[in-house]
Amino acid sequence: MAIELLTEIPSLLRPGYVVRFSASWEKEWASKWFRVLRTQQIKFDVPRIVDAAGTLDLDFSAPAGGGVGNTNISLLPESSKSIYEIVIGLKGLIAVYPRYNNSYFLKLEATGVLPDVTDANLRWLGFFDQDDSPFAQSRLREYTVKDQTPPVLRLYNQHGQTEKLVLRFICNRCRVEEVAESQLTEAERRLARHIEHFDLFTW
Amino acid sequence: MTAEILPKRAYRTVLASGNTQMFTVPANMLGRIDKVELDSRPLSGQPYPLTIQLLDAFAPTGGSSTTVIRKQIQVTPGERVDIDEWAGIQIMGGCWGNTNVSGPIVSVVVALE
Repeated sequence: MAIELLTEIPSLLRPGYVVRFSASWEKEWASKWFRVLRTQQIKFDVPRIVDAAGTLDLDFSAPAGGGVGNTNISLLPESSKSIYEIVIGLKGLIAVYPRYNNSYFLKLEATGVLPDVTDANLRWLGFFDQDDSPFAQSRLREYTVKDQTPPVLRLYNQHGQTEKLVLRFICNRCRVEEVAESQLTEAERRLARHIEHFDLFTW
Repeated sequence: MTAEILPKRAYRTVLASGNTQMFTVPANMLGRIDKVELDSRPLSGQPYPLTIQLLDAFAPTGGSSTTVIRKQIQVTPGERVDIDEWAGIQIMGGCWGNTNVSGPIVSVVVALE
């Protein structure tokens, strides 16, 4: 639940891999170790049109009534034994700002230095675009679990005419089971994938 | 029209008179105009004012806006002209073209990305 921009195309979790959640997660997950039992890879293309100088928020939770809506894309698991590992690729000339808890995730430390699409200077801060994570060579990664604070991607069209963005979500749906740290070998602990929470970046 | 090799995953459509629906770019694709050609050999007589208009209705993606690109050009019967400045224009959804003359005068090639 802390979106990452990687320098290469990430490898997906596979059966047998071990993951560890950081302490800020909800108590069912916090500081616990899990082993991946089964994985399934599901591709989900989400095209959206954004008006000139307009924004559109894409929320990872489900809309009221379930399914998928224009602003809700249902990328949180329903099972408490599932993790979604989501790799995101972009196609189109629209900037994407990650947000959690109604605030921007990528910001600098000085007061007020955070993305603001209405400000001519701050709109170029803390966003991703298709050059960072190309559609077919995705490098943005996110993890989600049931009932978590849903990540939101704010799409902003900085151009003078309507633009289309296509987001490709490769959702690696993982069935996991908790394992005690004492049952893991030293190598498994060292190689485990650490899944961070966005709170970790507030200091 | 002669056989030709189009860019990878491209459509060519010739506008008839009136409204011609040309392309529905799939929702998970973007399209770009590769070239627009006028072939006025079917015309005869004096130089002819030709109006071409493209409308992009974003139909497959649920958008509601419509972008219109419009051009008026004087063509002399028998000549062939490319409208270079339209190359690269993005097509996001359903696309309609429209001209004021009958016959296979205007053809548009759109490549998918």
